[in-house]
Amino acid sequence: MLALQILIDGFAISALYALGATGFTLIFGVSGVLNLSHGAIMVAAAVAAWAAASVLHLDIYTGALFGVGVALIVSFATYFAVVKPIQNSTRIPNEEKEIFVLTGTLLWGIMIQELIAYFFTNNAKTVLPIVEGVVDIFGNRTPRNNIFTALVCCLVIGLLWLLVNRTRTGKAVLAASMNPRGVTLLGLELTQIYIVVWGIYGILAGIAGVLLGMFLGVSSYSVGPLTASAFSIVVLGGLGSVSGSLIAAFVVGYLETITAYMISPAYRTIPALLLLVFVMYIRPQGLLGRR
Amino acid sequence: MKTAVIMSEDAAWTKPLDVGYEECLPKIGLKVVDHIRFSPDTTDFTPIFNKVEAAKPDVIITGISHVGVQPTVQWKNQQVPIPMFGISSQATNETFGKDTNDAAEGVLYQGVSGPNVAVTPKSVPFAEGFKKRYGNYPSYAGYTAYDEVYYIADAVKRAGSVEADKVVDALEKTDWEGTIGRVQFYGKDDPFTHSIKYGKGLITGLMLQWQGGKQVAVWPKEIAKSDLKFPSFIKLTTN
Repeated sequence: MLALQILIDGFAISALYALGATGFTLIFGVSGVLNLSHGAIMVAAAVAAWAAASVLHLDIYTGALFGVGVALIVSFATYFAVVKPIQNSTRIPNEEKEIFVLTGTLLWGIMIQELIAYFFTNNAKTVLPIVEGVVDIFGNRTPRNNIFTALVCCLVIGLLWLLVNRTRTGKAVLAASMNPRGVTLLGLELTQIYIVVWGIYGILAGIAGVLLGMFLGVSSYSVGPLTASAFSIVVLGGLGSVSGSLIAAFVVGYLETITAYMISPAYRTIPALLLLVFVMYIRPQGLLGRR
Repeated sequence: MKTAVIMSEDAAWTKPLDVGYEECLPKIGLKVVDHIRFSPDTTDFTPIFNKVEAAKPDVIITGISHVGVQPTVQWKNQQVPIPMFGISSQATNETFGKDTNDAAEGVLYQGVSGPNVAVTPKSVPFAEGFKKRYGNYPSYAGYTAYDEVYYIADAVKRAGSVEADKVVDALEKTDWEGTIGRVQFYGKDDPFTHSIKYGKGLITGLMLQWQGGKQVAVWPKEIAKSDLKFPSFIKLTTN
């Protein structure tokens, strides 16, 4: 009984972690950018979806789309206002650009967080679920929204896989992640590919943010923990490896759920972090990392 | 009702609170069947509510402040059939209804005052003035902070000085009707040194419930505006 409960609850949260981390790892894989404003973009999406419904009185679907749209805009803004100027700068030495991007996106994330707190307070917000009610799964009362969340996450990740492996644009993205120089030699504009990737990333982070708002709720305080959780999942899975992140998301999601059920909800995140430290010792490149 | 589960966030302020809960709940005939303390940064309350439900209590006694919106929304989404009662700081704020998309419906919380509740003649004018200026009714801290400014100013006036010892002497003699009741303090030799005095005619606190998207006073009887009302997923064991 408890095992089934853990299986069901862990799946929804893991799927959500997976979706959140996928975009994060994709950006790193393709452009080498560790986007530390990730949590802020997710929260922006959720708060926008909340505001669309509560302040602008739009319906649930329009609200959710609005949230994803806001994430897309913020994602492009992150690229054009923060990342690209640093990458193109001639005054920052190349070997320091990574650290500048890290700091830049971190500060950008804090700016977004403070803006959200200023306009919408730091109270947690929740997005009205698209599907309400509960279903009984072998005696476990499960909110329909959890099932919906898991399904949407799997669907979106599946679509991403198709996009990357079966379309011309996707293949260009994949090629850029393997060998950026080679791609430019083939006549593809690297900047174009980056814009596509930041677009995909914005949509992924937006969907993950809105779903998170429906499932658990977010506040401006969630920004740091969300970035940290995506970061640790991605590091555990192997930086830049999408499949590694997916596996790591489920490992972390289930480890947290099992801890909450079997030990105490107070220690929920600790075993996953210990695992991360352990993996860093024996396999610094992560589970499926290439570098 | 015969059984209760205490559900508190793991923070310094809930430690004495939980001791009080453990001590007082049995006195009113509620057996504490489980006591859950969870991390204040918890976002997924599913395991917690499942644990609560497994203990089959008649009521959940809350001690929450850092969290509020999230457990309340998940309580509703998961249709946890047990009423929540106790301290829920975020529920004292009028914006709580919107933040939870009305999942707050049925939540019972302790307040010092509330919208449309004339705890004293000062309560309603203050709450209305606050709303006019800031757009929403004050949370618990709004009422207490407003009173504090006035009784501290009163003490300074009576002391005729801002020297600490003189102000403390004057504060010990405070007898101030604020928005939350009549404020008096225990003296320095009392076991509850300088604590606010609670009791009839002084400060009783009140219980409010979210009903129809509004905060409604339900206890004490003299100021109650409505009976208890719960959403349909709540299964009450007795009245």
